[in-house]
Amino acid sequence: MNSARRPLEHFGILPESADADLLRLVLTTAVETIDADEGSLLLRDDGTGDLRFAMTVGDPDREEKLIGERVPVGRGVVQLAAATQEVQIGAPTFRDIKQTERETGGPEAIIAAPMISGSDVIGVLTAVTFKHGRRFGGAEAKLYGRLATVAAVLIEQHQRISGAEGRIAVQTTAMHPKHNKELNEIDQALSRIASRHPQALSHIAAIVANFEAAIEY
Amino acid sequence: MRPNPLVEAITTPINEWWCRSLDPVDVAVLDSGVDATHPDLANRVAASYAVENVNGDPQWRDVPGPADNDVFGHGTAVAGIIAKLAPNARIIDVRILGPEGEGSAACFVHALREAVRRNWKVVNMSLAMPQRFADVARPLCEAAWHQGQILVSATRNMPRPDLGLPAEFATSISVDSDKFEDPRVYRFRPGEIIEFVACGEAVTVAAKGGGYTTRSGTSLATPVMSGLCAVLLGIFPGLLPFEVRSALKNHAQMAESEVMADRSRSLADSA
Repeated sequence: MNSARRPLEHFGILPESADADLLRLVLTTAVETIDADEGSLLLRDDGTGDLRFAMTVGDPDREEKLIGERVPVGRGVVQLAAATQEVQIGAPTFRDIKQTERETGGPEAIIAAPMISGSDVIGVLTAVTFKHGRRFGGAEAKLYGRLATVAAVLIEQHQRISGAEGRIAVQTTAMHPKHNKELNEIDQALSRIASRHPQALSHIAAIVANFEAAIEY
Repeated sequence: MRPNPLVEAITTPINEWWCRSLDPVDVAVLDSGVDATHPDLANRVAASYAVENVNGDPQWRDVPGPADNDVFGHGTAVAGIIAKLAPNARIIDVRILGPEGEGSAACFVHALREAVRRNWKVVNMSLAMPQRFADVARPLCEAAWHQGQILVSATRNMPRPDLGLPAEFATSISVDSDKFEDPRVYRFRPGEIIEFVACGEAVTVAAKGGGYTTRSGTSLATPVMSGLCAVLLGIFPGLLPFEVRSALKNHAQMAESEVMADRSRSLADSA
């Protein structure tokens, strides 16, 4: 990996978190539905416009190699999808119109669907196939576009919730300055539980409500 | 007495269009640029331009040619379809996507404004601009309509709240994509915002740098309609935008249910 910080973490999503699992589920579903061999989720680096591999399904070895790799701005079908904010379908180039003499290497076909948040592209969802002569069509592109939208909403919601939690924590500590240390510890513990064991949150809510009821009365 | 050109355009079978003498027609391609060095586009690109984002402002510049002005290969595919279908089309290459991928919507509007000012007869837009540019783009498209230009625009491939601009405007011939064996065959969908459906599935297209590749999507269906418009205008140069649309509608495939719905609508309108 060519970067200390993984692209997903840039969006506040920890690799082992429930949100990362959900994104992987969306990507896996997308790849399996269109019978592709591999799929990737690339996230946009706001500073440079480059797209960085954040997640790959289909080949664990390739995922280890690809994570953090960059697709420079202005290059290929993936960046074309980002630039046009449209799903793009690519295939190899052949010397002849009957497409017998292949000129370029790589996969047999690729779909690249932009992940759009508001009016901005935050990433691209891709699928590739290595099956000889296989091409992706418009129906597959539409489906991939929809799943890219789901992935974008997921990241957008994660950022909104993280932002709201941060604001609540700041407000709480500001209201009770004497207990900042304890409140911070509680807040950090809750954040860890939320990302590692989100199913436990309902139990914690019940415990806190019971505790509050017990000390009030 | 010479027949009315609209009547003649409607009654001349589409297969005969290519047997007629065709006047040259300028077809502007607002896209990622065109590789004018591709054999399929040799001597077909009349001029090349680039609209680039310079410190936040779109700037127009001439690109000396013939050159490979394409950044992504998208525009070459689009121009290749037009060139193949319309032997009389003079391609005007206007690159609005830069290698930096930023500011393209503002560059798109700037290019459209220039296309209207220069009065290029057919303007192919296989890209969609964001909805926030509607107030700027609408009057430009209306101006184009009033001076007899034919705007041909792609609807979005992506599920978005809008269908894409200028495709949503009534002043544009808007195009969706489907599979057709013959690129001269297309459908008309009466009552829909996106009225025409043309061949955009698994199309063999010219590739940037030479050679050929396969692409799919509304981007590839749009130049089919632009090419047909160029041929039609090559035979009947005086046709107005509404006449071109009428002729295209008349030659389109329509499902029986759509024909009936269209007749009912016409009867209701005339009642």
